Amino acid sequence: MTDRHPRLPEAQRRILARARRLQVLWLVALTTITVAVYFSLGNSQAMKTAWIEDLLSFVPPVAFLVASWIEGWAPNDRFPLGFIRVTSISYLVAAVALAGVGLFLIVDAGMTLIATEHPTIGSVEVFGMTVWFGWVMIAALVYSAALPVVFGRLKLTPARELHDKTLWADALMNKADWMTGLAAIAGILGIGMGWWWADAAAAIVISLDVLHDGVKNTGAAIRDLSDEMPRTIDDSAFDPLIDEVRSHIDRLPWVAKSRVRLREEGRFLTGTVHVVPRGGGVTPAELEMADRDLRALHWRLRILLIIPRSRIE
Amino acid sequence: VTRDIPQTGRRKALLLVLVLPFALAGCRETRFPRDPDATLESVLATGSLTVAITDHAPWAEMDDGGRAEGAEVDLVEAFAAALGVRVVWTPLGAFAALDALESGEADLAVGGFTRDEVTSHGAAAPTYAYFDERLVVAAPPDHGLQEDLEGARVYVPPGVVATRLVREQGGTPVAEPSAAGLVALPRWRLAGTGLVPTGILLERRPHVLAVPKGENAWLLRLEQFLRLQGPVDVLLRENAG
Repeated sequence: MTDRHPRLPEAQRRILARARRLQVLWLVALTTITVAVYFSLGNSQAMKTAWIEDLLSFVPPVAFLVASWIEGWAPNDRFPLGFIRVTSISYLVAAVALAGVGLFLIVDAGMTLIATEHPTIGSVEVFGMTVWFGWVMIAALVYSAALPVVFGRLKLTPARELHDKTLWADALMNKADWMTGLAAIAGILGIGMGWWWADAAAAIVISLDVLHDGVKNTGAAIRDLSDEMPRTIDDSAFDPLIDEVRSHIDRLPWVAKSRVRLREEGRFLTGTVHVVPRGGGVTPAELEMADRDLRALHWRLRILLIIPRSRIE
Repeated sequence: VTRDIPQTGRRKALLLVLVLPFALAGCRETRFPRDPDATLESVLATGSLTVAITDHAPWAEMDDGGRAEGAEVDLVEAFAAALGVRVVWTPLGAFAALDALESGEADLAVGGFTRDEVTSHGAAAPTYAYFDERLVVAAPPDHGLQEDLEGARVYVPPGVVATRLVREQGGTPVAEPSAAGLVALPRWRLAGTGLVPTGILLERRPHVLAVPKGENAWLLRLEQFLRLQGPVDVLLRENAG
């Protein structure tokens, strides 16, 4: 894998390889979770919803693995700029899937509530004892809530280091997964308390969470693909790299005035830098030097076009 | 959800989830799970258990004298005795019996129901399958190997629902005992007939009792009782013979 991703520095390449291994491990763990929850589904709407959310959790890691694989493909005649945007596309796909299923789950749980469906949970025989099946369901949910929290924390650092939004969204969803488990457990305990509506209500809470994640990330993905000025990975501010580029350009002795326009392409920043040269002229050597220096500023800076102009409005 | 929740709030929530099941498990004998419509409580309080019964020998049947009999009737009588309540039998058709559970007019329904019959009707909930009835093709011990029913004549005795199943496996159902000696019968009826199973299974019928949906305390109590019962085929033979 080390000869892949020629655009990434050695350190990032290693982090990416580690993140990919982490995701494969997570897919294995997630499989055990979905199997455990499937065999304890019972008649609980909340449990069913939590299970579908677990199934959905397969999408971001798979999207990440596929995208980071395609991203490493060499540029060719049809795609001369490489495949760096694949990450953004996979992010959009994962987010839209999330939002769609969130909507479906809300409708599904709402209909259960309206039908005043009373969920029936029977018993199982465990070591000769008859045990209410609700306890088995709760045990499976505790397992399904504990693992993602651990993995979610492990994914945050590589997501930041790689500026990988799919991985970031995935890590946050995993980290928040304990709340899904908690809601489903509350639903089942509610059934046990004789509150037939508790289960469907818990299911609606879980699906609202799924929808919220989906809508939020769909928005972020659309803004990325609409060439928004780059934002930090947690979407809290403009990327500080913009200012670094700007001040670097303005410090060049031959630059009188400049305008920096950047966008995100996957984990990379690309864009155009318009400059008005002092004394009305700039040599190709000066331009090439500026380009080289900009790329040396940070690995995420790629394909910055420096275009001399007579004036900037 | 990505908002940061204060650390202490998280710990409290986690603690609650970890502790709550144990706290509730402590009082699970009578109070957890509970019934939304208090079926168990009202049966115990009134001392009377209303059972919708659908004629389906040998599982359940009202005789001419208005007395209930059948394997499931025996089970219900024993269950009522364990609860210390008496049984009020309400004879109804199969659909009406299940509907009576939904409307709250009955606490339990019997009538040789299979799990599919109860779930597909949709108004009631099944117990676990307390008896797995196997409809088999049997033959005299000297019959020899019978690999499939292709072209074979199989006697389907009156009262056994098997004509379609025999046809599906390529056999010809006949109304008279055939020369080949093949008979379609539930496995529990083979005892004492001198016949042995051929290894050909026509159908599995998971038998259940039906309860009102969502009455989980009631269902748990009934299932606890059912799991302690002896072999059901003995009950069936007593009631059939």
